[in-house]
Amino acid sequence: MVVAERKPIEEILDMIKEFDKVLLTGCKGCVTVCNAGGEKEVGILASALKIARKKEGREIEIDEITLERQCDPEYIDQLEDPISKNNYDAVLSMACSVGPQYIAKRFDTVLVYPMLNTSFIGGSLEHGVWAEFCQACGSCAIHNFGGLCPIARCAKSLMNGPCGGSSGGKCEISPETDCVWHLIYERMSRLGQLDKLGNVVMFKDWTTSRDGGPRKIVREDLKQ
Amino acid sequence: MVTELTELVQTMGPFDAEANKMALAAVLRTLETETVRWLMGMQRELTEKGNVYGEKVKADAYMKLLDETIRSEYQKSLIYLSLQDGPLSVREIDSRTNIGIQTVSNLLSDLEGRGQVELHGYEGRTPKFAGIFL
Amino acid sequence: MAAKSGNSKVGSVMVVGAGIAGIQASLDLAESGFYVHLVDASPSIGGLMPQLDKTFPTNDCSMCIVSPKLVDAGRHLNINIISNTEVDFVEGEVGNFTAHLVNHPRFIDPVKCTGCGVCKQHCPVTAVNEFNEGLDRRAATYIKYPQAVPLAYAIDRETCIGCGLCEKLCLAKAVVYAEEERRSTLEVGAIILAPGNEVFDPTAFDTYSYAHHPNVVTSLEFERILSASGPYQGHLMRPYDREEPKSVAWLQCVGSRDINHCDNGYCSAVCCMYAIKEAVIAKEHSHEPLDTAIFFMDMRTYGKDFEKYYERAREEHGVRFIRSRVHTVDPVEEGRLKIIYTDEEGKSLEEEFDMVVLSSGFQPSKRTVELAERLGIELNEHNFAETSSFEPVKTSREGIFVCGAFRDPKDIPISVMEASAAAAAAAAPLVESRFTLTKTKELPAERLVAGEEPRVGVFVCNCGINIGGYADVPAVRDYARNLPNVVHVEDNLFTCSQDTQEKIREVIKEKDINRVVVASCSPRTHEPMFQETIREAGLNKYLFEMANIRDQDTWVHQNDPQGATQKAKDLVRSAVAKAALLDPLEQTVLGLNKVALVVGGGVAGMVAALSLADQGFPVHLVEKTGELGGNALKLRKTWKGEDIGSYVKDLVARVQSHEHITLHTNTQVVANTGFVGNFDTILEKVDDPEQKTTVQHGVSIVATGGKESRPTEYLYGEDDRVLTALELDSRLKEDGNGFKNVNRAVFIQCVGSREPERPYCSKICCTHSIESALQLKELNPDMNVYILYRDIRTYGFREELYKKARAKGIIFIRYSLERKPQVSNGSGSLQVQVYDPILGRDLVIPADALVLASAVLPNEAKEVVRALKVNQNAEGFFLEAHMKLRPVDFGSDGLFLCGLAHYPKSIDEAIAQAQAAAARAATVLAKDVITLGAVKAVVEPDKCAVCLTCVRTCPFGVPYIGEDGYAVIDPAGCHGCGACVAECPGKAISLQHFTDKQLIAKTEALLLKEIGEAAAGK
Repeated sequence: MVVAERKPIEEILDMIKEFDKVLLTGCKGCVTVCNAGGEKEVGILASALKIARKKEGREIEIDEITLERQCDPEYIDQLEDPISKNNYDAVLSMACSVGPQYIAKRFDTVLVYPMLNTSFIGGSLEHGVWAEFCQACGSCAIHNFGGLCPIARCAKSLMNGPCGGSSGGKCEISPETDCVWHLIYERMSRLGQLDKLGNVVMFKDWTTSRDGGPRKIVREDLKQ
Repeated sequence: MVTELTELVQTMGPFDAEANKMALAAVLRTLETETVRWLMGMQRELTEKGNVYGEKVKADAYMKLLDETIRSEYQKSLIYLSLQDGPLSVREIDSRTNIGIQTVSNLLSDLEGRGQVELHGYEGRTPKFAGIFL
Repeated sequence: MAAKSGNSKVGSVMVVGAGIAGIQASLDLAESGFYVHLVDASPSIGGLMPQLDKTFPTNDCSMCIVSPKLVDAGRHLNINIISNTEVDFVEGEVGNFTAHLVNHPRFIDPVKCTGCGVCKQHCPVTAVNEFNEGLDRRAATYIKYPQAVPLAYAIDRETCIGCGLCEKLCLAKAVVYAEEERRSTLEVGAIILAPGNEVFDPTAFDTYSYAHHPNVVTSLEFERILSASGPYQGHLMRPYDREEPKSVAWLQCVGSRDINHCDNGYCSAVCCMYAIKEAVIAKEHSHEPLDTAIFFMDMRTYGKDFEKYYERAREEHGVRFIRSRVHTVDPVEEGRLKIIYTDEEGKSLEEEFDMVVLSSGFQPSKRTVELAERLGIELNEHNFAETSSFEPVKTSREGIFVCGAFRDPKDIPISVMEASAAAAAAAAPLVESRFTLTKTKELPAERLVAGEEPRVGVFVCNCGINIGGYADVPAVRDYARNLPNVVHVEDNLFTCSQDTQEKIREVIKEKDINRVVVASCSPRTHEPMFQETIREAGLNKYLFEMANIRDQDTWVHQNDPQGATQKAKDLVRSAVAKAALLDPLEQTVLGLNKVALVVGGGVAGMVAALSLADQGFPVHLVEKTGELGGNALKLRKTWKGEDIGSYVKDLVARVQSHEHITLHTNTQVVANTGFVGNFDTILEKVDDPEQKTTVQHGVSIVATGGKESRPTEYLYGEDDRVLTALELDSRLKEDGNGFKNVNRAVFIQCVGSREPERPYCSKICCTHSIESALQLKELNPDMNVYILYRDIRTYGFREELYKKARAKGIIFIRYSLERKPQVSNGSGSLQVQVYDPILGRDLVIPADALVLASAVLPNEAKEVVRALKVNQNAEGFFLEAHMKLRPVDFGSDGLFLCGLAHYPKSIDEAIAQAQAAAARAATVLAKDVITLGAVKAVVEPDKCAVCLTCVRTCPFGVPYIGEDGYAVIDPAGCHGCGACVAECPGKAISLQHFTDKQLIAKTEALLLKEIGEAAAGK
């Protein structure tokens, strides 16, 4: 899933310093699962901002609403009602950065602010800990690497083995980061596929990745 | 007997009210203590007529109880009053009242239980007790 | 009451002694269908436990863990507490006893007394306060401690002068001077004796200066000094001058292991642990650094987690341990005390301490001994009840059982286990009379309040003068009148009295009240009672809220009446705000399978199975191997000399032929689902996984046992002459005479135990080795036998064996962990080299046989852990719900454990624990339905993001993602702790009776200052 975390509160306070009335929107999708922008986090942020502003002597009015998702136009439509009935200075989105963009697109004249820093595509290691596993390169070949992804998990996205900085199974950038090539090697040994590593992987066609420009997927059979 | 008393009083010299101010105040407080008054008031009834159990309390046992109660109430009052000027440690209370360190320590429990004295704080390892004067 | 006809057994039990053991036995019996008469000579129940400050090894506050049990016992419909009473004699036989009691007058009616304390405040005479061990005084009219059950005062006739003041002052009119000693009788089916022990009085030890020096105290006095409810409010002070001590010394074995000054040659089993605990807690209570030194002979920290406690005390807290028996405590100036002792090298050292604590042992009191004699109970030479290892709770008189310290000195967990065992034993002959004498309550139909506007009734209590004497109760009452939704207010002298309950019920009906707020004392003690009252008036019991304006207000703000009154108003306002939002909640009632599953066919498993089967419950006994008996098959005799082999044979025969036991050998548990009363377990044949059986049952008992470890040192496995203890046992069994040619036998203790990799004590090895050593000496009196040890842990009466061993010439040499013995066989002969600390040199002992007392390990039982979702501790032993007070329960309801799987123990302890597990299981199986509380977490499926947070957070493993794609929380398993509610990122879970809306309303109301705002409904 998309993994994000909330921006520092000082940054958020700075973003909203001109505003007296805002709509804070949450998302029940990925950001709920990674405990960053679900209904609970919306409630907590709203309380925190109100307290901070009260301390400054400039109270702020914050309405809260959590949408099913903020990456489908139908759900964004649900904001029509509250936005038209209230004179919000801005709409704050606690979804991943897709959310605020959708809101901005749908409500052309409304100021939209992102509350989260969207970080990566990843999964949970244990409760409260998430790590990056995918770079969305568009042409997945993890089966060639024992089921691990060197694009996302190698600091240099190397395709043909570790660099000289691999030491004790760890990447040279940080003792906490595993060297994924070390893990790939071990796994492929266990799978009995070491010989496959002998094949040189040619330079990747990066056009399918972000390097080829912003991407779009069309399912002709689903398009109406 | 009166002569003895007179002679005794003569040997003691004039009464220094100032030096014995605290002791006098303690005596007054003792006489105002509910327990002392009640025991004194009930003395006749309990020793001559009988108590609620229909028994007569022995006169000498009652006197002993009364004596001990008066003594301990007096000592407690002394301790309480000695704290008028600020919190004191057990030894300091004893030097002012001459009651005896162990006795002061014991009686403090009673006074704490009654809400008349409380632990004020520590000076190193020495606790200081403060009187609660409303 | 059932008429006494021919063979019908009386369905009630008398428990004599209401300490923690008596209370536990009573609760277990009452919960399994028997009416209990709980008799105690003192005015309140609880025994010694309320006097303790903290309990080892968890350092829980003693009062905090015992008071729920006190309240449960006091409230229980089927427990009749008879205080101030002694048993004179008993006639009859099991099933039909007539107990003759002497009821000593209390002079205060416990039904009318509300515990307000006015009498004690004015009573003119005082006596030594026994609860505080003589450290302060109490009035003649007294209650032991404020949380006492029954909450009623008593008059100490010996001190009372009969002045009549208390009667005049008592607002509840509870004083009855005319009360006289009465005699009464009870008809009961069985009797349990749990009279406990008294603490040894060291006055006779004149060399310790105890009798005259205030700074030499017993351990129990020290507990009172440490206790927040004690004479110094928990401040560490010495009795002489209240100074905080710089250093405190503990002298162990005072009144124990001593046949010189007293006749108590046995070990009191708990003093090593309590001394360590007192040292650690004393350090916590002192502001300045405190030096603590414990003078001991052997450090007996043999129980579960005890060794780690000892380690932490030494390494982390800096408690000093000095191995030396102190002879004299000399007073020196300033109230200090001098101790002269010899260290291990024979050097004489001198130290001064500010306080000395005598770790006093335990013995049966004179009164207990006399009671036993009157009842015809056989006592052993130390005046404790005589019992056998195989029937540990049975006395010499049939139908009369014993548990707790009266059997032998022991700590709280084992007392609680034995108490449950005694309950099982007492229930066994009375099975047919279950539920014949128990009481049930008839309740009126519940009034439906859905859709009604909240109509709140507020009842403010004066609690005599406890509240009313400090806060302006009428003002609080009048304030409540103007709160939103309030339709009725009143104040009462004692809201908890019987007549006020009547009034409350009437006014509820009269004024159509549908929410009730009581502003008084603690919900801990009174919430269930008030809930019952409103239920009796037809209201759902969850429509009730309490404001604690006593314990949390007037009791702590006695010097600020104005502040106390304002705070009371705030608390009431807050409670009313929540009450208005309360919803009626339904308690789920489920049926159950009255069948038990026992996993493990060793002695513990078999005893548990038989105990339940004898009560008529079908039992499925699952054993992994092909044979029943477990480790006991390898043992010869108990330490008392009883034959284990024939006992086990008997047990197996009974199990195999029992009509209610279905035996599954060569079988293991592979899966389990469900909850208490409704479990489904799949069993599989070990060698044929296709052969599966499903068992539907209501409870599970885990008795998967343990095994002897294989040593990895001392040439074990490399030399035939090196054996483990069980290997020695089996050699002795088959060929006892083979040892006639052994000239020197050496035992090494603690092999694999008390090491960094395995930091626990295996508990049984010291006793076992000594017992084996004595056996060897018997076979060959000329044999030289050496036992190399670190501490000899022959606790309780096992100390006898140690004495006997020394008398027989067995040589004990101490070694330390840092300097372990070296074993070599280079020259062909086996040599054991050990450093003797007394001689100060190495000894080389040629050995013909070397016996290693190796560690007791738990069996892994991974499949049981996985299937039953139970936990093990770091050492692999199963984790009980609470170390002290729930030693045979798992955290999840309906699951119990016993035997070596819990911790190493001797066979009599395993049998007692097995019976205890059966008793606890019976409290579930005896009932026809299971009623669940209604405070549960509820999921709103639409909001669930299926993120797994609740699944991961729940400490009880209850939530799971169901087929429909959202989190499911089974109310039967949910403990209502609220953790998942707090963590759910989607706010999909709410806790019944503690919803966000209710709690926010409560908090906002609390923080409001103006009633105007409240009225405006902000």
